[in-house]
Amino acid sequence: MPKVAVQDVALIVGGGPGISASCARLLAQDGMRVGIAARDPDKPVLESLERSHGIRRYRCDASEPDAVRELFEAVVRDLGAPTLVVHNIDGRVAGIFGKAITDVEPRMALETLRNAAFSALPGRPAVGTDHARQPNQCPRRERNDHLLPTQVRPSKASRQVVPSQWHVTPSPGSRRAWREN
Amino acid sequence: MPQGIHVANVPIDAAIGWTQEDGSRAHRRAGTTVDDNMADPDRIAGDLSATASPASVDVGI
Repeated sequence: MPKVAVQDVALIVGGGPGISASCARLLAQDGMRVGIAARDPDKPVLESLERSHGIRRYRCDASEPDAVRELFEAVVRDLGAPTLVVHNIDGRVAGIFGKAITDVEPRMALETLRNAAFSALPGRPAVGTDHARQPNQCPRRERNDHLLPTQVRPSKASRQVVPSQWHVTPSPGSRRAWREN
Repeated sequence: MPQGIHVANVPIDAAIGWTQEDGSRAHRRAGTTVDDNMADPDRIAGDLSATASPASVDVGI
């Protein structure tokens, strides 16, 4: 009986030159079909990923539930149902960088929360749900779907909503973890 | 009832310095790494990948 290799599909929501690009490269090298979504999918780094690793680019404002639904529909159509979703949205609006908590305008804080926190919610029902599957894929119980929200926040951010200085030394524990792995 | 969905929240307690064309690592606002004070996104991606499942499955038809 012939065997057909069925590639897993990964979707990275929130794309830039950092963790998302590294994940996209690694997952593609591991044999996954990879899509990456960003409000601006025409960033040079994302175009480069498309050329070098065949990463599919999608335009999506993940703070809008309808946009997320349309994103997943497009990914399922183009690549297949994702079995790994990396929620990698920073969320901070441009004007909020470098400001102390007492200087941040409430509107910016609300928009940042909406981008960073709320945007993870519309994506959650989409991974692992039957409507996101294709008929030729395994039933849910035979699969292992993953949702990996990343939260990049240097230690200083816990004391000050927006770090005014980005030269933050990672905590000893996190530095040790990076080196041991 | 288990839904077969793994959720891993990954707080990353570091600024991210990604590799530049000249091989150095830098953050878009903070500049070049000093004394290895930024996390390497390639290393983080490796950890995330290890958290997830193998990349593909073989299905008999």
